[in-house]
Amino acid sequence: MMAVLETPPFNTVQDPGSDLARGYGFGPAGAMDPLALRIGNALLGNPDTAAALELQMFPIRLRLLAPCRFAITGSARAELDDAALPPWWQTRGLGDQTLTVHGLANGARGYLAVQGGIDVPEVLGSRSTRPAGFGGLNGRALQPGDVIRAGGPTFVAGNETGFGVPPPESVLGSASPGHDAVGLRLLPSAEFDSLDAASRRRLWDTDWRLDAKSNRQGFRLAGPPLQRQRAVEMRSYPLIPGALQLTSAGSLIVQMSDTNAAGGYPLLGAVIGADLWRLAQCRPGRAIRFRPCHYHQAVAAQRRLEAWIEAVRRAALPALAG
Amino acid sequence: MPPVPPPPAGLLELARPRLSLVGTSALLFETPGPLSLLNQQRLWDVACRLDADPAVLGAHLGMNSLLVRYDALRHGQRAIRQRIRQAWAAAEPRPLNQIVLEATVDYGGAAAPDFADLCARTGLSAADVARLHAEPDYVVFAPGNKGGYGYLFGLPETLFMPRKPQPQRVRGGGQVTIGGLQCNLIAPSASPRERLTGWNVIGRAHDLPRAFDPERTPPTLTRPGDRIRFRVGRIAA
Repeated sequence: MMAVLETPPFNTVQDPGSDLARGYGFGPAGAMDPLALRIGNALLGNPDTAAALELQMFPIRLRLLAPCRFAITGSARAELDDAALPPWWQTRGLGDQTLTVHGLANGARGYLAVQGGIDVPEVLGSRSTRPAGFGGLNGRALQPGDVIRAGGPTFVAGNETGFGVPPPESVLGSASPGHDAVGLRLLPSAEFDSLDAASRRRLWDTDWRLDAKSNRQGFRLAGPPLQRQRAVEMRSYPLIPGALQLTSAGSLIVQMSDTNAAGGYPLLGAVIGADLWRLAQCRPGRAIRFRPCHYHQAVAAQRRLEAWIEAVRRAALPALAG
Repeated sequence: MPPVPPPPAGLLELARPRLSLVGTSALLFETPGPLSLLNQQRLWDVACRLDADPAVLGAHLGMNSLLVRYDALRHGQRAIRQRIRQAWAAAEPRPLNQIVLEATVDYGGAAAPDFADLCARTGLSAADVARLHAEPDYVVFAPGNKGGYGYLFGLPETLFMPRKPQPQRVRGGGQVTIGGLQCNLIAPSASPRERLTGWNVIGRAHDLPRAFDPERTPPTLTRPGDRIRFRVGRIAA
């Protein structure tokens, strides 16, 4: 059990999200960086579906009111009282301690997972906080005074300082195109071919900049305008996080976790699932380069990511058994 | 009778059904031809068939489109494409449901800034445009956005209006909007949050029932196949 002493806005409870809500006109919601959430849960022996805190603004200070085991993943580092913890780390608190979480300069979002998962009611298949005002903790962002409870037992036996994993870039590779830009593998969708030839080249050759007007719903990318060979009015279709669309004004948007259930801008492609974490960790101003990708490469990348999570889960189990 | 304007130009119209990747684990299926009720009735059936298929994680309706999610580590995309094509070939049109909502719409005025443009586009009088709009029963094709009443089909081709180049802010809900040949009724919202829409606001309905309540079973008032009827209220050119 933890009490929130101090938090900036925009920090929420998130799980992997759920597609159950689609039938009612809501997108999946869920953690922006699905990998950091899953590694946090794997380090604690939690199921993949357990909810954690997604931290987008820092610092946040919490008081541990009872013994608990927690993990810090993503772009964040923590201090338990005065002891600094490494990033991508799990350890225990014995209670009556203060946990302070800071952001890191190289990313955008950190995750605080607790053993047993965060205990909030499941609404439409998910514990994620939704902008419509339901889910998560009372349907809103965290506030000072909130109390976070774990939904399962905590194991704090033994005298240990915890353990961690290397950050994902060092395991999965940086995917950088060789200069200071984040490389994102993109699978083209049907309307990619509706771009004129120059625009198709520009899509791959431009360093797109993440615009400040980006949030959990979508990322806007600043760059040269793209044009279609012929403007046709589209029918609306279901959207997923990672979907890359061309707005009527010729600019690019990538849909993110709080995407609308459906939209009608032409769908140029989608960032592959295995690279969504890289995108989620981009801060405004960051350069992004799209890289063409074959389907079998996207599946292979997903396999590698799943294998790493599974290895972390296996490695954590004996340590958790104490 | 008012003169009939030319049919809408520049609408997406596919010669054949289209299947396209959306990332690693989803395929988007789009039906051929113009936006069509019969195709959507078949898609409702396809969605049920695919939802019952253990290889499919979810089949989600759009406007004459269906997003099919699957586990790419267990199933190849070719196998999933094949299942979607088979389901489409075997699909039987599902029937329509009853009228679940009747709403009186005030057309035009400050709350509906694009109504005047619609009248100008069509060359029809405000009264004719309002009457044309309210004439058909609209069919809920697919779940809407943000827990609304759903994407609506039934707009007469005469009232085709492309989406706006820049989205506009709307507040409070109840707006009747047009995006291409699609129609929408924005759900009233208790929150003061504005929302952005690229669709044209042509009218506003009042005293609407709550479209979505997460505590209710089912949470939405409408489901695909239901029908909505509009009545003409006040008209301001």
